[in-house]
Amino acid sequence: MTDGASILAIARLTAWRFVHSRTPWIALIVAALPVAFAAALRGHASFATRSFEIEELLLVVLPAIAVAASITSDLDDRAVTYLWSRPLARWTLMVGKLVVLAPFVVVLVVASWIAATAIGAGELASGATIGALAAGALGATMISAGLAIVAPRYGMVLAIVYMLCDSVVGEIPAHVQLVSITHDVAELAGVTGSSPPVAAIGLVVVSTAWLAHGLRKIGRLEA
Amino acid sequence: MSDAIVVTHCSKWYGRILGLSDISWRVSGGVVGLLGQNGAGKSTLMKMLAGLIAPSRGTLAVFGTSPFSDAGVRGRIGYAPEHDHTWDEMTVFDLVTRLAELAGVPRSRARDSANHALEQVGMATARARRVRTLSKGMRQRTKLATAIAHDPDLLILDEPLAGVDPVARIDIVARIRELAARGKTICVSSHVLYEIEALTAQIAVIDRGRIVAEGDIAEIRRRLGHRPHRIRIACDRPRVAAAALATAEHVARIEITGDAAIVETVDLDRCYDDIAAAVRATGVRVSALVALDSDLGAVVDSLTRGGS
Repeated sequence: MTDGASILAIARLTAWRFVHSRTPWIALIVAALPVAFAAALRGHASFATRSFEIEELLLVVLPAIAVAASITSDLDDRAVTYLWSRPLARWTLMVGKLVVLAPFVVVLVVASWIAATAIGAGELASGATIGALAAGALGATMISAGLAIVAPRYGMVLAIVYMLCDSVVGEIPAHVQLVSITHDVAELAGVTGSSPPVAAIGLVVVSTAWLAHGLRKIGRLEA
Repeated sequence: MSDAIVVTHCSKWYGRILGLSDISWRVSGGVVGLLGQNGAGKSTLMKMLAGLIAPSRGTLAVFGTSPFSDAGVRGRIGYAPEHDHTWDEMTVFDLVTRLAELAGVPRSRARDSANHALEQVGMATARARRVRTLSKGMRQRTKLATAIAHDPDLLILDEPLAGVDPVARIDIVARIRELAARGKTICVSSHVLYEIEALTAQIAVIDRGRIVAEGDIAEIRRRLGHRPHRIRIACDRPRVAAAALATAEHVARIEITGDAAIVETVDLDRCYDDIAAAVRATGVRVSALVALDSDLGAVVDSLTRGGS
């Protein structure tokens, strides 16, 4: 069985189980919260300054709910014996899940932002903010996946705590803030600072490092 | 013929707990039973054979390669775990189909493979049922179907008869024997001696992480020596049955408990013959005949004492 076929088989299984779970509905409710916030602050002066920060909170919650929880439920559940006893390279489990769940998170974050901007400010969201949030959602998804492998039993909680700490680190006025992906997203969107290329590098390095760590560790996991 | 399984000085630690201790074992083919009490190390060894865990020390090869590090060889292995955790929201057919796909069966053939496997285990009529609604016996058969759907060369069945009712037990034993007759190598574990006896004469007895005896079950029984075997005869008139057997020289002791007579004998085969004769002569109606020497603790104790 080729790795590509393994990834596709895992992706199909992930999609089936995801659709038949409550997770998509919970994620939709969470993604609707910034839209509700925008509706409440419609026309208010503080909308412009606060709305992006509120939207960034989705990066804290959605990847943890959709990705970390999915991976940890498989790894912590003894049903994983059915996967590990198949002729699959273990890393294909992680990639197969990301193939399905990462686009879901990215689309939900972007759709939430577009809707919130349209309702709160009565205008279309800029390409820069949409691109930054999409990149941030993808990065946060990769980080959540890596963290879920590091601590399978507490993956979702760990992912949320990490992203909350990430927000705090993003407030530190030094180069260390570049390891914060919420800070990087704000820079990419042009909301703060003025060095998008450096922020992009920071985002790619941090999220890739966590994903790579997860991919390396999953190969040694036992059931 | 090369060995399907070669285990060489394998040990496994879980932190400071020793799961397996310096096990060496070979299986060339056929059905082999792995017998041991709960916690003896059977499931650890079976998980290693299925590639779920790696040995802490020593080597383990299935068809010449490590099933933990070589994903490819796992396509030749069918594994049915002891536990019942699976994706309960799926139908039986969905579960078997998807696991066949994950085992390398092309998507276009996975449905046919699943149907064939479900027919083989007698679950074809239950294919549309959700897994969560299945009885224990049906779950065991479904697990068997997931293990055989991709037509593996080696089957690793961890306690496939645990918790199933007598009718399902007979059926599952028959299915496993059919698979063996088709040339599969089958490694089956149990903590009940007579379950293994129904499947194979080749066994390995595992205790506290070590294989304490292996070989032909008759030979192991011979090594058990004159330890009395116990047979429980549940019938409508246990005192009459006991009286009919009391004079037989191989009978060491008879005990009446409610609706049954428990006979201790030093010659199991002759005892069964005499029970049949006693039943014919007295007309007692027997509802169950159970060999109680499946008390594996006693068997293992006897083997370890004999070896020391």
